[in-house]
Amino acid sequence: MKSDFYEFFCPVKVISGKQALSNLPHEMDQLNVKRALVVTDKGVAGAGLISYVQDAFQGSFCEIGHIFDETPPDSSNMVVNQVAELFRQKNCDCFVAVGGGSCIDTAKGANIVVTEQTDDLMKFRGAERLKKAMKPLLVVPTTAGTGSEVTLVAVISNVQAGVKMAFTSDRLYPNVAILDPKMTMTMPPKITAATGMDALTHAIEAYYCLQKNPISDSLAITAIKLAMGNLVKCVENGKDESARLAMANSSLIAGMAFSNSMVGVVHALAHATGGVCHVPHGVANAILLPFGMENNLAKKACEIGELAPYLCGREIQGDDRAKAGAAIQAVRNLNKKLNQLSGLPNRLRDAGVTEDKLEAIAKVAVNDGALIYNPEEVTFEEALEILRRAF
Amino acid sequence: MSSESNNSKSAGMRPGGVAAAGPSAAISYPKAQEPMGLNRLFSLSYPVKSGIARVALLALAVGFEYLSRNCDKLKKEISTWEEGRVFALSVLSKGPSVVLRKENGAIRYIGGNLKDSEIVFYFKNIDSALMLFAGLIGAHTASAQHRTIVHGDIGIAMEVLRAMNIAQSYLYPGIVLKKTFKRAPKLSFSEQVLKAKLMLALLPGIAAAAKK
Repeated sequence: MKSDFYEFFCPVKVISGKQALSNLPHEMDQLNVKRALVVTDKGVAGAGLISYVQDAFQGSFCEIGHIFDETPPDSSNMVVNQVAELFRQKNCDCFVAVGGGSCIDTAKGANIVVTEQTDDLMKFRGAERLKKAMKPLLVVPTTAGTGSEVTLVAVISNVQAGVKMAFTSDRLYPNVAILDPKMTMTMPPKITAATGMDALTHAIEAYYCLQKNPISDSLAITAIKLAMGNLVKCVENGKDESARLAMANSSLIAGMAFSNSMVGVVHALAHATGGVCHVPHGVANAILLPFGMENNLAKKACEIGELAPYLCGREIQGDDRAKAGAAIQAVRNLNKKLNQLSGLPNRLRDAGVTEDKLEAIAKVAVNDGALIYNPEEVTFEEALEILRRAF
Repeated sequence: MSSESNNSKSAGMRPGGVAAAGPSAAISYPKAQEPMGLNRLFSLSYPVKSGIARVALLALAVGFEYLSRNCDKLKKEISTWEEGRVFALSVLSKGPSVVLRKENGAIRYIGGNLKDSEIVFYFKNIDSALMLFAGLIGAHTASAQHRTIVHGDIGIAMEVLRAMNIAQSYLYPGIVLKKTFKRAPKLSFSEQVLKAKLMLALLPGIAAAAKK
């Protein structure tokens, strides 16, 4: 698709910088809310990051109604219902999600339950089904990868039905995203590498997938520049505040891009690899990204080639194909470097995937919604071929 | 002076683009051009467009029914679907709908009531539906351009979409498929024969379906 018709929407207020977290109560006040339900997980709480959030409330009329720190890595309808019940019990009037994608999605899911006064999320699955104004949601990411702080998507598992429920709605955008470098500082190198590659994958796929548009293009390029300039620095030295902030921005900007341009075969395969073999999303994206780019070379060599200067750090001579090849090689080189620095796996077999699982992954992947937006058609056989090459 | 600044002056604007105080002359626009070719479709009245969309949806439903009994590719695609799966296509807000159900291994058109549909593909407006039916855009482009939305499980919707693509490959001429599919399907001789048979069955099928 050329950009002859597109929609773009991102209503999230972004506050980025050192001590940005201190603005949290003021932002709540601006939204006319006073009592927050903080949704986080044990890892975030254990790292002492929630105490930063508590400190931010000192000297303010706003308060924390309750802290829920039991969000699991894959949020479920049961957890979401539990959080919604707490929200009502504790008389809270807004959600503050502090964590990675799972915490943010849990808060989004609980917000649906509270707003729609339901305990059955199943009937809201799909696109644009939420019509009521939701409770304010403020997000403080502690990873730099998912971009969920600026997306319209939530994914929640339904334990009873054994399915992952996907929701997309303009109502699901958070109101405020706060990027404070101290909140991502404690991330270990391997997770920093994996989440950073998640952000890079969002930006790269956003740039060549079918919903691309002029606004998402410019966001994607900015996100790529930030990631290429700072991801390795963050992995090498987690205490580098400015590199951490730059990566948080890369993730957020890539989130804005892909929320409006969607992603493709890399994400379809990564979702499936996560579902079947429990490979972390960022790790799966990192491994599959160069292979997904190659899959789209026939149709999108020009767009992929346009990314070469940002991925390679220099102008590349030659035709589209040569430039695209250099862009793909740059991603491979980055993966290799991150592997040396942090142990980030470069092959599926190194990430715990066994060969006998590849067919099951391909089967799940061809039913992933992201494939609609992939420029190239991907059949089961082709998905399997990509997986074999990445194995 | 550029023509742009001349226009700004005649419209009562300061060179910087800020409106001058006091009365200004009304801008006279040239008359809008009559749409050409297939674009004429979009200037028709709503009832006519709705009628066309209904016929197109019925054609798709009839095609689906016929092919689910006669096309090996479609039979294979729906073989893993559970019996009783109900899916629909509908045009928002008050446009036509078709609802289909898997029964005894095949697809059956069951009318236009969306009540029991677990998957609904909605066109956001009648023009978006016509763009797809007229072969101006494909299903993936309609989705990428936000012209359609899906209610229900995305995984199931992807299965239905694949089946719908197979049905469409028998309903549209090759030239349209080349333009609207990511990868245009190539039909074998026996599949071309099946396509011809479907074309013959289409009109009576639509007439019968319209009575439901």
